[in-house]
Amino acid sequence: MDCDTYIDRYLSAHVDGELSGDETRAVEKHLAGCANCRVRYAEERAVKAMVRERARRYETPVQVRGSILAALDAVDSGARAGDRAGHADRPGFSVIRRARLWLPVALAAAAMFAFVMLHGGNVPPAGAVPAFDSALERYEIFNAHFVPNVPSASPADISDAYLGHKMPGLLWNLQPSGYRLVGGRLERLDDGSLAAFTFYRGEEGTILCAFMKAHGMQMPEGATQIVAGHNYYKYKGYSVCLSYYPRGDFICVLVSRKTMPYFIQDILGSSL
Amino acid sequence: MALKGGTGDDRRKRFEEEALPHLDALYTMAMRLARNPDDAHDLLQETALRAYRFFHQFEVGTNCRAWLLTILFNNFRNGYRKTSREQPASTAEDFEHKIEIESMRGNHAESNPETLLSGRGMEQEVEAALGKLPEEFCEALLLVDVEELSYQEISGVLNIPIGTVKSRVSRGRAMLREALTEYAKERGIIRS
Repeated sequence: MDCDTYIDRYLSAHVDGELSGDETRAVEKHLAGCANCRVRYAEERAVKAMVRERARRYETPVQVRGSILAALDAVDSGARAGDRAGHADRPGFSVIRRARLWLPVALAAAAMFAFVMLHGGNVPPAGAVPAFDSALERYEIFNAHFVPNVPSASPADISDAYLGHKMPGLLWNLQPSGYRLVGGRLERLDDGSLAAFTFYRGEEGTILCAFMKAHGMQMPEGATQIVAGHNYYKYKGYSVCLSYYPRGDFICVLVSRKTMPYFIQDILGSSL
Repeated sequence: MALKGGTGDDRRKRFEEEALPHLDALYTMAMRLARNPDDAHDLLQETALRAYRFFHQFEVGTNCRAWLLTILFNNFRNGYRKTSREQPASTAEDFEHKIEIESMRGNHAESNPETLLSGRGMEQEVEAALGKLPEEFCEALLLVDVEELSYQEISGVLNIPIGTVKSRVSRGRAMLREALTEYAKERGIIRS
């Protein structure tokens, strides 16, 4: 073996430990008698070591890690919803990016499998639900005047801000239904717990999404419809949708003044 | 039949144990490919979700990092490649030209009487040289040197024949050596 052959054909693979037994013996025989190639081999190793040790490495930002875990949660909950209908691992879940579209996952399943229970027209209204009252109160205040208190230039900003305060980072995408995301607010409720409010405005009205601590809350009786784990209520003249967030003991309460049939139609539309 | 990566209720637990420890490696590669944090985030998230959904296809005992990187590269090729990305030098001549220009700027730390073999203080130079390598050479080098994949595994990750892996690594490392030597001369680390 001559020097050119060694350097052109074997050097890199030699350094990378990719030579066969026969090849290794041949190159070692050459190196034993060639000082120049021994230096060349040492330099090649040095270049490899430099890349290994000095190439920049990045640590996954906490928010990114958090949103990935949340996205896995969404797949888990979606798969469970799908299991019931015999469609686990539906490929369509791949449209989720950054875990910012949690709710449509379950709702997409609903639209697909039409897993809708209608209770008819004689349902008693839900009794007093403190979580609903908190959300309704904010909804009225925000309708009059909404000022975001977290960066709200994009859904990603809002999501990052929520995650930064250990709140759910997944947001409804209501754009397809004509509801523009206005912004997000983090506020403390009367009991001192943190809540995240995301406000949407469309030509026909507004929607508030409130993430609050569940505190072990049960689904109240009196739902008018149950769509893939989302319970819909007529409550004090508002349409309210309650669901459990898949991680960390949170509930999601959606409030709108729009009547329920239109509301549901819009929400379903947002998921596809 | 080979053991697979898990289905049903244990999937999450096994995914967190086997796949998530490689998240930083994936994020690093995503940052290199996408070149900005937002796109890297999207690419990483898409990769993690896809890996999770198809985790039953992962064969236990094989290299999980290589499997994840395969998904990452596939995702990148299938839609995350940004036109805004700065085009790296595409030929060896361009590459050498860029290195010359870079050296002439003289924007380096103070001279240091070390040899190229020690490479101390060469962080910026390594990054600069890697950044100017033709993309496919840089990817192959990072996969073998940083991620410590075998040529066989890289062949799978990049979907290219093993002979191509070998030549890209060899060529890329030679170019890198040349560039680093230039930088080292420039800084007086080694004499011309």
